[in-house]
Amino acid sequence: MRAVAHDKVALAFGALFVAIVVLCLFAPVYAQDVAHTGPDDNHITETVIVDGKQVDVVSPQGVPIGPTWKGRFLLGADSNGRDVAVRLLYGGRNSLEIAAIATLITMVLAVLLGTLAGYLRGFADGVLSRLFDLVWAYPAVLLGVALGVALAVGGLNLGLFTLHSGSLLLPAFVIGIVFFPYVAKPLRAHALSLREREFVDAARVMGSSPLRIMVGEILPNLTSTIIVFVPLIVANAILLEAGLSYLGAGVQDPNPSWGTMIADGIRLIPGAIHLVLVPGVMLVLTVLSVNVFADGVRDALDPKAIVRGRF
Amino acid sequence: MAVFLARRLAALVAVLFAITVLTFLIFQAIPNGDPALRMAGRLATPQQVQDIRVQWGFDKPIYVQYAKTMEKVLDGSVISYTQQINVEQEIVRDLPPTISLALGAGVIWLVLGVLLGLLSAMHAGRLLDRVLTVFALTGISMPVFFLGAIMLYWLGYKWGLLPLGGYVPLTSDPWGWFTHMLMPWIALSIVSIGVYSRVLRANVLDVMSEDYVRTARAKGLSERRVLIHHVLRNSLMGIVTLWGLDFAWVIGGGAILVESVFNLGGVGQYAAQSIGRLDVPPVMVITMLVACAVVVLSTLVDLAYALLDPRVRLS
Amino acid sequence: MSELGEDSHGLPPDRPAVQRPLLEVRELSVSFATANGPVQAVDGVSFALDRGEVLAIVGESGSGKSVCAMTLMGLTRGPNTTIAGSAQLEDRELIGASEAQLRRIRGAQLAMVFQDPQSSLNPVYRVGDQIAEQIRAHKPLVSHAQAIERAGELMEQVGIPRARERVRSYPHELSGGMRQRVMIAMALSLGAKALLADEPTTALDVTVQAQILTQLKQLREQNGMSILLITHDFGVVADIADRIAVMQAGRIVEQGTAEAIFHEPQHPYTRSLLQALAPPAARRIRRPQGAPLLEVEDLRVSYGRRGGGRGVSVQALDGVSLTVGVGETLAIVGESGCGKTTLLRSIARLIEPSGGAIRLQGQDLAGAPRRKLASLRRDLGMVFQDPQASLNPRRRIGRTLERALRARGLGRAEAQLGAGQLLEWVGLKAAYATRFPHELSGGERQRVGIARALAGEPRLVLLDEPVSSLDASIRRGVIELLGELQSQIRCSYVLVSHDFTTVEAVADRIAVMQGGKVVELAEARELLERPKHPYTRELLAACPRLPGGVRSDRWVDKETSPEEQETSPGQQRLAETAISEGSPQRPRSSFSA
Repeated sequence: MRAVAHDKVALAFGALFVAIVVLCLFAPVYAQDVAHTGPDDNHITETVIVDGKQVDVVSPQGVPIGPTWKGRFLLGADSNGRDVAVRLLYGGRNSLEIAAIATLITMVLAVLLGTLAGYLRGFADGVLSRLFDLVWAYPAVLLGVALGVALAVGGLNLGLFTLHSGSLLLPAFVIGIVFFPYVAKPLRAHALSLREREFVDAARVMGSSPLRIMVGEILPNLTSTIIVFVPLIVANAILLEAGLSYLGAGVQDPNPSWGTMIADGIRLIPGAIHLVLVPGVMLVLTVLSVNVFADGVRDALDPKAIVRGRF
Repeated sequence: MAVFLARRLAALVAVLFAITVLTFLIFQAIPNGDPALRMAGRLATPQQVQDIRVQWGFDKPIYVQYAKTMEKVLDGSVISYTQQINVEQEIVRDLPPTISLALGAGVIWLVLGVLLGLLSAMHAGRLLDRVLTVFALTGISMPVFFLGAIMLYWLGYKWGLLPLGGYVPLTSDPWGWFTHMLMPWIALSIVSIGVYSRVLRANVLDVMSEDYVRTARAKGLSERRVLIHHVLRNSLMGIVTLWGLDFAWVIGGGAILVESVFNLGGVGQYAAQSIGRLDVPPVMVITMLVACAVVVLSTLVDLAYALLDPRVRLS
Repeated sequence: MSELGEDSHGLPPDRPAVQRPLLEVRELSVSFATANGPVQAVDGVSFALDRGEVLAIVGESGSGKSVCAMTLMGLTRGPNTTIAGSAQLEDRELIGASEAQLRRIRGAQLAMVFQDPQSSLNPVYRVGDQIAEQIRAHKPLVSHAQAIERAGELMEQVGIPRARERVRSYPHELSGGMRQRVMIAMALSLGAKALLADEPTTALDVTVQAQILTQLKQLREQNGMSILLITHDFGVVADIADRIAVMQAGRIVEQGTAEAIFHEPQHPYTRSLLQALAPPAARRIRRPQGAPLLEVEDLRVSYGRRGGGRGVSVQALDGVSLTVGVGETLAIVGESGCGKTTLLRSIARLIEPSGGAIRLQGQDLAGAPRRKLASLRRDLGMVFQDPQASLNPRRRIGRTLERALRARGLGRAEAQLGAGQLLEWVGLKAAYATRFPHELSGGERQRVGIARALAGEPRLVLLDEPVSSLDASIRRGVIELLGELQSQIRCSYVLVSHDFTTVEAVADRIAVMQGGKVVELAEARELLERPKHPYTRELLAACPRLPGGVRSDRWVDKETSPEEQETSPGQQRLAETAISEGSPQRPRSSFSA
């Protein structure tokens, strides 16, 4: 980890990401004290003073105003007269929250199943590997869409827990499942090769149980691979969530998300391009900062790793 | 080699079967309520829902449901209830724009990706490499629909350089086809080149550090020969496999996200619209077909791998 | 021998005009810029290679010998490399020459053969094509067909059977020895005057090694090639070198004729290297009485082919039987693929046998269920070959040893204490307990491995090539440690090795394996001096040995009576010391012969 500290560029972008996260966390503060409006509040019939003139928030043709660079409607309004800046921050919170939970799901599943498959080999590995390959064979967006659509109407009821269709956990769950084989497969490969190493033999000769060996010998040596994947999954989760929400299979109205905001904006092209630009640029900045940081982590921990940037 | 082929084909069939089962399970068997209601969509009457239940066998055991579903899919008789059209016929009609999109973008990112990847590897650590890495990282970080929208707005509306979306068939107007496809191609390629060139760079660097490249130099071969005959040739396997992965990404995701921005009317757009309407039958069929196509593609890539590597070919 | 050279300018003042060396290196220095600062790999090295002579550069890992050779070929050039000094090949200056000039020299005037023939050949091209490629790169007018024809001739010349057919083979279809011959054929293809051979036999089995060395000698005799042989193995050098240069830490510490170096080494480093290869001091052979500790009966292990397919299984062990007595050392020797490692791993139950029996102290080991196995394992320890790989890189040394002690039944507190004691027992400081493996040297890591294996004083210790991965100068110390520890705790060793020097130093009895079977099993001296089986003889003959390496009787063989067997470990050590130090039966060093 000290090595990452030397990579100034990676650190800088990491800090940028943290700044964005903090900004989004302060959404309620911004909404209350700066914009004086909530993310769902419609101002479609109102007017606003811009440069001394009175302007409709949303014109009679349906075109909302662009950025005023003032407290209210700092970054403009959307077609429902909602404050874009406020929705941007709330949407960011949603997107980031979903990405975080999805990453957690992915990593837990991948570590558990990947290590088991790599260490146990034989039949267990056969079954698990087939599972990984099957889920992996589906292009990520497609699978996400399929799951998202299937779950959108009725939510998910697994007996143990229920996810309602409006819940943010639903897209998080979907994304977590979609990505897990991308991490499970490399972890399995790594665990397989570790298993052949002599220090594992030594533990076996000592009489350690398989569980002991997996936790004590294999897992600690997997940590660098695991750490390399975390920011990568975060970046991809943010992108996938945006894509799913854009299509309507992710975050549902009225919850804001960067993806849905861009979708709104695209509908209005060529008018109101700020509706596309604002969430879009924010999205790119966020993902880029994670990706640069991820690169730095990879260079520091495992320079030989060949990892696809986008699933 | 024959054994390898046979095994691969057997595996292919098994995976195809598994995919149909999994897709079926996702759409029909998720424990959250009435599958018939889901299939019927938001505008259905209770009578329609009941009809669907009977037709698709939702009142019967699960393997009967699966059989009925597969029967309908293979028969070409899946209907979208919200739209009242035959799904598979619609898919066939929408194929040309999607194929044009995927293949065209595929060629572009193959050529540019290999070029940039090679350049990066050859100048590893130096300025050119760093610059190219920045571009690649930015490409990877862009949502493809955002990129498309921006291009449409600036290149299309503001500067009027290219058409504002829509599709023109190749056969009726090649130039029109080309200009209409250019922006979607570029949007897709920018992302794919980012991914592709970076992995390729790592791959090529690996090959460059191999002992046989050192031997090649020790034999007194020209740098050009070393690069093309030894480095590039041995990176080919990586080039082919990775291109296959990216292609799968495009037809499985990129197309869906980009076609609607440019109103190309392809399968991707059809999927996107169905998703928005929560119209299940088309989404199910498209998911199944695309996933199968991807698996077939990756098997082909595997076979190409075998052709390229004598160690696999001759075992 | 040296031809009459032509008179030319730029002659070094100290060599007479007629003896112009083929290759002359002066004050060569190479340093690499790394993340931790500049590393001086080669530091002012000077030597000369005459026509038709073999100069061996000997040194351990990190001595800079390979960097030297690669720099002559210009293969170390790069943005992070600084090269200074001069290297003249017959008037042509190599250092600082342009890439174009160097390219003409590489392969045509100066050829190189590398250590690992597997990775040095491109796996996707046929071997004939790879030889032809070199020919056509320097002689563009030669057609492909002609070049392939020539490749076939060359391959025949270097002793590849069925050369004309094999021209169309891919590298993975040839054995290690044949691949190296292909590399040599490439070196011959353009009539190069000098050959740089970088550890050409290190990756090969000992019998194949002998063949390749013969091949290289032939090159010198028949083609008049000069050879710069880079190696860490003095034994390899003894047979073939005219002159020797010894390198340490980037410098040549001693140079001279082979005779001089072997018989009158001046520099302390040279002496220590040779000393490490000296025959070991006298030992008494142990002949254990009583019930055997370990019995292996008709052991069979087979691996099925992966994935079904052809259904051919590989018989790794084909009916092996042997016994090991209390307190004795049984060595198992053989080349790669003979099954010796499989045998060891089966005894440790790392592999499940497919037939036969293994009994430890009379109890069934091969078929023991999990619980019984755990208790049986308390009497079993194992030392692995690669000290780098056999310690968990993420765990501190102390914790590793604690785990070993706890596995043998100690409680937590005792185990912590015991870890420190174990370290001291193997000659390391107790403070090492807080270190990670990568903070220790190779020899130190292996001592930790030994400590781990011997923790809790098991009765049987399995050793898989325990010193093969260590530098020659360290091996001696580790072997001696093994001997001491064994006499202290009275355990038995089963030691697998491919190196007879190690085996000679420790074995009471030796088993020779080939093709999954034991072909000869006898007392150490008997086997080494009067080998019965033809394969044993072949193996012993192929072993590189030092000049004058007649295996004189070094064994002090006293008929042991049962009473003497019971002497305490302390008394035993005393007895052995007396034998090795003052007694007239101590052999004279083979160097002074």
